[in-house]
Amino acid sequence: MQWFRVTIEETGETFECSKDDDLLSGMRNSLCRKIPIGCCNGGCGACRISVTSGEYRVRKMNRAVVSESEQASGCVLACRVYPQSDLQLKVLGRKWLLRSAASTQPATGGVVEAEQQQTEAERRN
Amino acid sequence: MALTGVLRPGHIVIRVLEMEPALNHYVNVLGLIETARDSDGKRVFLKGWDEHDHHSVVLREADEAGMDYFGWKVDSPATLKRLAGEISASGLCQDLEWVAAGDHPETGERFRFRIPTGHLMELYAQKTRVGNNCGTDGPDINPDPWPDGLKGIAPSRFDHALLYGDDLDGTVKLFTEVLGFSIAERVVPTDNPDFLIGAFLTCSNKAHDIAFIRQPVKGKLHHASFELGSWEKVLRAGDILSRTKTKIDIGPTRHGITRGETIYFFDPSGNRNEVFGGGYIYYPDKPTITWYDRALGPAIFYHDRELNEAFLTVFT
Ligand code: FES
Ligand SMILES: [Fe+2]
Repeated sequence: MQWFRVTIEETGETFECSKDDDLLSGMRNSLCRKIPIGCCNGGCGACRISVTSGEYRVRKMNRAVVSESEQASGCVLACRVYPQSDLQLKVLGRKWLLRSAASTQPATGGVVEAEQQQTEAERRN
Repeated sequence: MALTGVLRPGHIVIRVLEMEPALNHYVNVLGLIETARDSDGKRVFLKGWDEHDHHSVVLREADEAGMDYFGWKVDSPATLKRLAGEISASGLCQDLEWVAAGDHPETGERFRFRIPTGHLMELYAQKTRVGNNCGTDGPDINPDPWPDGLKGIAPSRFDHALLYGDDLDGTVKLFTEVLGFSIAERVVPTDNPDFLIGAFLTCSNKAHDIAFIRQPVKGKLHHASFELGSWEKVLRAGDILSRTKTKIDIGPTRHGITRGETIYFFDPSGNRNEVFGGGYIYYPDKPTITWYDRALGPAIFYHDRELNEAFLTVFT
């Protein structure tokens, strides 16, 4: 089996990932916990990352959490990315930040807008 | 007939990113039974083994995960017409439309509407009965307790869903005042008991047929849930999920709300599923149970007594 080294830019943490494993599984099999873990299946967007260098292959991702243009600029879901070389990445996290709990404050205007986290990828667009 | 109007959850249409892994999950791991598929393979129709009607779960291949719509079976065509009129008159819903018979195989016409939390709902009165394959001398004659050939976890039925959305007040008003549901349990702030954070609604004798939690999003699916007979079967489900390397979210554990024994896990597109056992019988004269927000931990996960991060943030 072929193994590659994955480096998280912010902290310099690294883990090994085989070319047949997605990056999130590779991380979960190591001691690193830097990328947020959600559904592990490309649906929820918790594990969004920006790959800054290296080659990879992706599987289909929920378009509601990664748009085509984001994907083109390297923003992907770690649970849907398979390394083809050593990789460097930045952790973006989920797009939608919900209130910390189902809020105890009545919504003033009925609809409460989710805060949108501005991501690296979006800033570049 | 004492139980009239909206009878029960009839179907849920779940969007999946890739059909093949989704089918492996829903058929071989969860253990639903395929009853039909579109000629282009874009929709596959499934049911739990103890459901008599043609299908209760529809998988549709799409670019986004989540739920397309949730359908309710009503007691008669007359009730379907009446409720369609009352939904229109209520002014609470949008995107009202009739969907022609046959759009779902073996299913009559459906009335579709978008509820205030952004979810599409449907009512229908007719779906072909295909049976549960338990009869030993013809359908429903001298039946065995369960049929041969079940796979995987094999829940008896699609049971309920938990949905996230913003205008909880509007949705609860629709379900209680127009569709005839009762609030079995609710979550409110300690200092503001009129403000709903969560509502667990029933149209039947079940502890819930659908639930909503207020979140600043529209039309989101938290989980689709399937019924198992016992705690032991929930534990066995956990074994099957681990053996098949299915991502478990939490459990086996117990919910404070509904008292159900539960395990949450994810389908291959990140949609959360639940299988559960237990709970209680709801009658219309049963008092509504109230949970204060400070007790949301044990309300959701009775043993951990705190929410895991994923409960509030992971949905499709
Ligand atoms: S963990 Fe949900 S999309 Fe990767
Ligand atoms: Fe549930």
